[in-house]
Amino acid sequence: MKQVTILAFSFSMLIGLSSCVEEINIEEYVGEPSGTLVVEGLITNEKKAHYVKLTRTTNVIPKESADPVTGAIVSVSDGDTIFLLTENEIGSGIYLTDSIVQGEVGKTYTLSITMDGKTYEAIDIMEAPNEFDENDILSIYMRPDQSGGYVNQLFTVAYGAHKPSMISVEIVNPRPEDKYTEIWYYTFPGADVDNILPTPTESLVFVSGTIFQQTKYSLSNEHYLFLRAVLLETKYVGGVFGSVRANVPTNVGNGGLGFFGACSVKERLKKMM
Amino acid sequence: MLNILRLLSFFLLLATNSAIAQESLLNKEIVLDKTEGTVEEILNEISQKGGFIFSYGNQIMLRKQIIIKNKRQSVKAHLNEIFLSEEMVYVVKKNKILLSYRGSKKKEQNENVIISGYIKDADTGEVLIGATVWIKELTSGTATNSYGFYSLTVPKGLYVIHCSFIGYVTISLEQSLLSNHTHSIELTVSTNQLEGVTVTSDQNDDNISSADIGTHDLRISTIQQIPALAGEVDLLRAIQLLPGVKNSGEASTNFSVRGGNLDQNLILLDEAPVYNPSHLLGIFSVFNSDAIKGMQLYKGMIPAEYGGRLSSILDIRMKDGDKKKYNVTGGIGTISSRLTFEGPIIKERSSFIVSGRYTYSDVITKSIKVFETGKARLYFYDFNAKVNHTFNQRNTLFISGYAGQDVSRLGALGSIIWRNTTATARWNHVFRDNLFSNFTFAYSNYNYALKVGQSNPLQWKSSIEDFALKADFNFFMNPSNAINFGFTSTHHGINPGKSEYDSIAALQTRVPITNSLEHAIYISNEQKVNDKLLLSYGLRYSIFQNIGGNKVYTYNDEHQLTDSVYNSSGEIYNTMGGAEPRLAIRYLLSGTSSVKASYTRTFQYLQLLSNSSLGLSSFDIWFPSGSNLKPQKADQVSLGYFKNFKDNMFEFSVEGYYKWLYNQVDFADHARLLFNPYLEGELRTGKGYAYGIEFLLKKNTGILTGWAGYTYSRTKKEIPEINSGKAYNANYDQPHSISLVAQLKLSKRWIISGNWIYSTGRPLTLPVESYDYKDYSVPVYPAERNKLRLPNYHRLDVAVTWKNKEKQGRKFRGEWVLSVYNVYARKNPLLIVISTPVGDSKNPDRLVAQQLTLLGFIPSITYNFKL
Repeated sequence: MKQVTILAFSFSMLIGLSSCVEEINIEEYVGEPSGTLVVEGLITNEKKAHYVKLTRTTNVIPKESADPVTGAIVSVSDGDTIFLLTENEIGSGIYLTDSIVQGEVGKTYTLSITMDGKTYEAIDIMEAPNEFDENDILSIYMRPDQSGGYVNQLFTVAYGAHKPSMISVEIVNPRPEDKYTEIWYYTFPGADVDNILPTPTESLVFVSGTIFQQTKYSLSNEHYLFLRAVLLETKYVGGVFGSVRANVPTNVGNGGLGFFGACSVKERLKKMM
Repeated sequence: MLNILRLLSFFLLLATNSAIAQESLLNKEIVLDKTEGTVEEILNEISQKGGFIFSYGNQIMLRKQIIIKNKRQSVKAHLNEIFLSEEMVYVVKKNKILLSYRGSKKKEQNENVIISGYIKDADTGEVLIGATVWIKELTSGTATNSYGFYSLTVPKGLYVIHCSFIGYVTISLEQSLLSNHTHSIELTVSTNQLEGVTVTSDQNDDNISSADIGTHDLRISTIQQIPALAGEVDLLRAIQLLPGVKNSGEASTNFSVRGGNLDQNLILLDEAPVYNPSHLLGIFSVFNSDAIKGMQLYKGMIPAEYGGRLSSILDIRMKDGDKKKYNVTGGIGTISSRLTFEGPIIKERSSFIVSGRYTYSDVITKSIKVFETGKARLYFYDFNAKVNHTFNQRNTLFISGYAGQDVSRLGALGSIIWRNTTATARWNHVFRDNLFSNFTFAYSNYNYALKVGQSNPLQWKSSIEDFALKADFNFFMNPSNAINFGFTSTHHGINPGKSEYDSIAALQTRVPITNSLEHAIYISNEQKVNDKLLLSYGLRYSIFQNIGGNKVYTYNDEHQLTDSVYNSSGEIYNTMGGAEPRLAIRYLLSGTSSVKASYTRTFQYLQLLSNSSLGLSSFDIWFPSGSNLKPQKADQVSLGYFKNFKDNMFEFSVEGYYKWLYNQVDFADHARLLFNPYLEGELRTGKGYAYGIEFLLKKNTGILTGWAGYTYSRTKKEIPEINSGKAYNANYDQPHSISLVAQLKLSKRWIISGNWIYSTGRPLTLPVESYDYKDYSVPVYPAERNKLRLPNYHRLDVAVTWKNKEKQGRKFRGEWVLSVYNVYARKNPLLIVISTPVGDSKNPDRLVAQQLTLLGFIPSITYNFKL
């Protein structure tokens, strides 16, 4: 997307240096936010405390963090068992299960939220785990550096995966100067015009001995479409060639927004030699 | 009709005639003052001196020169002398003498003859399209067809034939038509117009008298006077100044007609379709004005010979080439230069024209170091060529072609390259004086290649290629009926998209190639019912066939892939089609005003899937109808009132229309158009409608010419899976638009021209709130799509032309054109986006709302020459 936008801009420079990009006050076009419930939640087949974060919608260009939703009754059901979630810290809007809860592949999980007299539900199926493969970014983009270390170019999405996945990389023993301790990225099957080829956002140098713990999350088709739409509407939005914008899909009913996902995970460690 | 009435009156009078009265008038002695002159003059003198009147049909040769030997003699003797060798009957009724031919002679005189031929520019030999041939005595006339041919069937007689064309001196020819006659007429450009003084030459009143409704004829000389962006005279930007035609964005030559999508306009260059008419991402059109003769836009009543698009046909004709002398014309502009060479191959019989254009934006681009490698290139070129040869009066051959390419290389980022190629071979054959035919073979190819990255780039290629055969016949049956009929057959080969990428196998995708056939037969008639009522009606039947050799996917009602079928090569596995009736009615209210109405049904079997709602040509994919996608269909009704003032100096029209659109295509939310073999699964179809009213006031002659147009229009779509199934504003819904176009000829050497346009802002969908998900701020859009609007659009452009002083005997002519686009530097936003700021390195992650304005104040200078 950026390439083509630059192309358009550069041409306009040619024909008279007349184009301009100006910041405008978007509030002149749109009204006040509605304060709709937003869900960000995930249950996996790991034995741990799984979370659901509840917030409300805010201004188009947020002036501050979204308001958390506190005091809600939150539970997750797998059809046999109901797991109650409690607010981790009152007022935080983050609700956690017990630390011994573990999801199962193939089960359907239903999130239920009751607040202000309304009940919201979100359903997702936990797909089988995706094995690591040759398309995973660490395999492709980690290159030896002249200094003896390794350069890892950070991408948000890598295309060409057999199945869509969400991957987190935890840097186990980072040096004090390392910028990140955790990186998230996605592997999707197809390319999008808005981001034809993933372009690196930045490059990080890791020294020999650094350990990366990769966790690969399977995604249901609905979860993949949700994440893809989030990226199209955020990271890859804009430009004269962008497709018609649309709302990001949701699996939260009763007018809610966001997504509650159920993912199975695969983990591996990679050590920089 | 008039003849019949006269004949009937004659017999009626004959039956009640009195022999005595006959003798008294016929024996009356008349002394003529004038013994030499035309039949009409002598009859007038006899009539005046005798105190009676003559009544006669148009078979009398009034312009024939005669000499009367005896000044003093009876009326009868005078008449015998006038009609010396003719067998005439003189019948007296009261104070009238009826003159008529006797017996077989009379019958012979009432037989029809045909006058036919070509109307050409006297200076260059170029045929003139739409020139009028008119016989006042018969109140009958015709216009030249697309090849400059006319044919008019009339009763035998002596007539004065008036031939006219806007901008040319009208000529009147006396012609004795006793047998079929071929007469090519040459018209001279009105020098008055060039001299900048008031022109009062006869103007064409075609807008009143023809059945055409929703039609615009723009000549290249008009277009060349309109101020141009960066000095590039642009046909497609010119038509955007017409009522009912809207641009698809500040920086695009693409256009929407009467609320239709951009792909609902068929653009023909010498009858070959041009699938991407854009240079430089859409900012300029591919048509080099030096090689173009003119164009006709049909947006209401589309003649039956045209089809394949719902909203309009833009028929652009290339020049044939000067048949009399060699010319070199050219121009050096801010962005590009052009050169045209034309001349006779065999004088008066064959000619050629070659024309090329090249932009030197590349020179500037190379010097810009904004790109990593410094190897950025951005340029286009195009080339037009045409030859023609007239074998004899009945056979002419034309071969023409166009080739153009755009290259946009951005160093390490990648490149976009697209090409258009067209070729046309046409053979005009006149079977009979009233049966003209044209046989066409046309070829068109549009392809583009997108590369991303430099080493081991990801490539995406897409193309469409047409081979078409066409036969058109114009049968000028009689003065009241002109029948057109013919057929066309086109093979479309479409490669919607194929990607190549060495690193990732999954990105080596291909949307199945499709082959298809599109056929049509048509017949239409323009019937003059009486002096006031003119009908134009026709029927086109179109058929579209998908041909095998590819994999066809099937989808369920939720648009999910369910199966695939491989159809063997050459197998026609899907056929669709339908009848497309056309009807137009013109009723003359007076000699200067008429009302017209029309009904048009059209089918469209190819659709453009574009990722851009702004009309910028980029990654467009042409896609055929098939088992998963029904053809688009439209029904349009129009009603108009047309009025001319001051001897056709002013034309006024108001036209209203309503258009029903079926099987309109839109995309699923966040549809993936590239690298997606299951493209059809991303399409959603529904209906739409458009309506509007268009006003146009045009001044054709005088030192100030131009037009003013106003349009009120609405267009909406209603697609079940989009916008909760509710109707929403289409992308080109801009209710109000105004265009003012003026050209002021200050003197023989100075011309000032300008245009001002205004339109309601384009609809857009902006987020109204947002929410946090992980580290992203996700926008939330309102329930209704395209509810908001960009600010209203308006712009003023001006141009000043200064011509070099003409000197006797010097062939060289030159002119400077200084043009300014967007004089008052109005910031017309092209789009509004909410994203990280462009060019803010201090806070790159900040989220802001930004508007992009592409074209501000742009001055340019061009030097044009002819030698």
